[in-house]
Amino acid sequence: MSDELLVKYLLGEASAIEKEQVQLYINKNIDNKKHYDELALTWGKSKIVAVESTISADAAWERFKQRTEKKAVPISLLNRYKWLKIAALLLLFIGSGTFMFLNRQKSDIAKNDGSNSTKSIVNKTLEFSNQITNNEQVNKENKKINATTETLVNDSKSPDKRQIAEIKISRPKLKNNGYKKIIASYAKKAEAAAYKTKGVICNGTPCPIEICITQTIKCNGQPSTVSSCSTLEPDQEGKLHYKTHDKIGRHCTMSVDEITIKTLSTGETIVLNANSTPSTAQDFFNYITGKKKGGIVAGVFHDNCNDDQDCGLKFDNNFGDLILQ
Amino acid sequence: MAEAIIFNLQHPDLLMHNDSAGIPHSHADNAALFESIFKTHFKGLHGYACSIVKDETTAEEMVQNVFYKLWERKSQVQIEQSVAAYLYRAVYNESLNYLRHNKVRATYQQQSMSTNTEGTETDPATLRELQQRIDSTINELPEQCRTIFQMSRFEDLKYKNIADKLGISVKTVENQMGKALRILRTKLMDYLPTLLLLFINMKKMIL
Repeated sequence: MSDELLVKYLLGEASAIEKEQVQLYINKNIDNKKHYDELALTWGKSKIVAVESTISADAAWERFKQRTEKKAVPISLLNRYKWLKIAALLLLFIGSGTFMFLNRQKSDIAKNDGSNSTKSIVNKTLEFSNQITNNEQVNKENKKINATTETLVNDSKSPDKRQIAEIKISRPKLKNNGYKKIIASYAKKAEAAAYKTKGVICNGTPCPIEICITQTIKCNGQPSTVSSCSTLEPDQEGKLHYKTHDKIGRHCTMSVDEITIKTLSTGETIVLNANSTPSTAQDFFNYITGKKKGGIVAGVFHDNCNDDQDCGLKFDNNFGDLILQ
Repeated sequence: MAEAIIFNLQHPDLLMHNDSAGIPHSHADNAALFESIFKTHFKGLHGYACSIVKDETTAEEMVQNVFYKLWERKSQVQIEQSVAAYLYRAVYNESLNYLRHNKVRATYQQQSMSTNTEGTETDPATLRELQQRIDSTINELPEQCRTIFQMSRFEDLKYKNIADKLGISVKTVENQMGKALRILRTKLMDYLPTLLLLFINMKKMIL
């Protein structure tokens, strides 16, 4: 007899037939009775830790409204000038970035013999996305990235489907122009089985993935968003692009808002953000940069992960690798 | 059917589209919808956060933060799951982050120990230990399992209601409840014989 059915009976959720089954089970022998009584007792006693909210929802809403109203104070003239200064700086950045981008593009074209044109399109887009930009700029870039991706996933069956993946990423090895380097590889099928995955991106076979890290840099209260994407070929070294604290200035703060991991062949994407479980984008970021070490509690961040298996992000202390499953 | 909405939070206005209606609402409607979602889910979410952070004020802050982030986010946020599922998950993460970043584990344990123990006949020391054990076991449950257990045990919701709220199947609720009780029973095994004895004696006295 499953605990599920016993609990169902205990909570008065069982159907007539199920009730009969449980009663037969309980009356069959003393061990069965004991098992049921233990579950019943556990259920009963668990109530002692119940916490009931004594705060009124209306009062809480009023406090919430006050909080949002405070935020909506109009920007002062001074702040507007400050913003102009930042905008000018950003323009300078974008200009120099574009210049660098165009230069690199030229050299890419010179290197490329034309046999791998798809890859060069991706690289161009990704390089371009590494510039500091304002929100509008990022939006434009995102469109560009998406457009490029779409051309790569013409045969996609479900481009928006969120799936579970298993990817191993070792901790950073070296610094390179403000970006750290990581090595990405993919777990073998046997390993995947050991972790009881429900499904694996690319069906457990090596395939290129795109990791995008969206960061918000706040300088003097003014946020700007940087979205940096990197493609990683299976079993090959690849750079994971993101901004580091030492590159953003002393008076600025940085947060990691979202990390997406997409398989380029199918478009299946894992999204980690502030609300993903068990690991937020910031947590994941800390692990891949090596800032954080130790176990992440396994959990769920993809759709319909509702069985007894450990789903979600795991940190494997044995290998020092991140395993996303 | 679970409420399925898409939050469209383009600064400075909050716009929300109700999927079931299929028609985008006006700004006023959207603000009213946001308020209604806040008020509908606040109590449950607050109780949930309380069970994690063990402090009413902090718990309210956790819930407020979750709603505030939704409100504040300038880019479009699309929630492709039930609102309740999203909110419970967000509150869970917010609360865990709070515990993690504020290093309040010591306080948490202390407060956990001093939780109300009225209305019980068992030896207070045993009861306190039991309470601590239940508390820590619930805290160790996987997020979805914990949320479902919380809704069933502390909000007294039926399986069907939980499934509707979280946008999952009743079967999943059944499985997760079975799992939660199985884990709790295993972890409380040391205490169960004593409690069972008390339970049987109490039953005999009543009869």
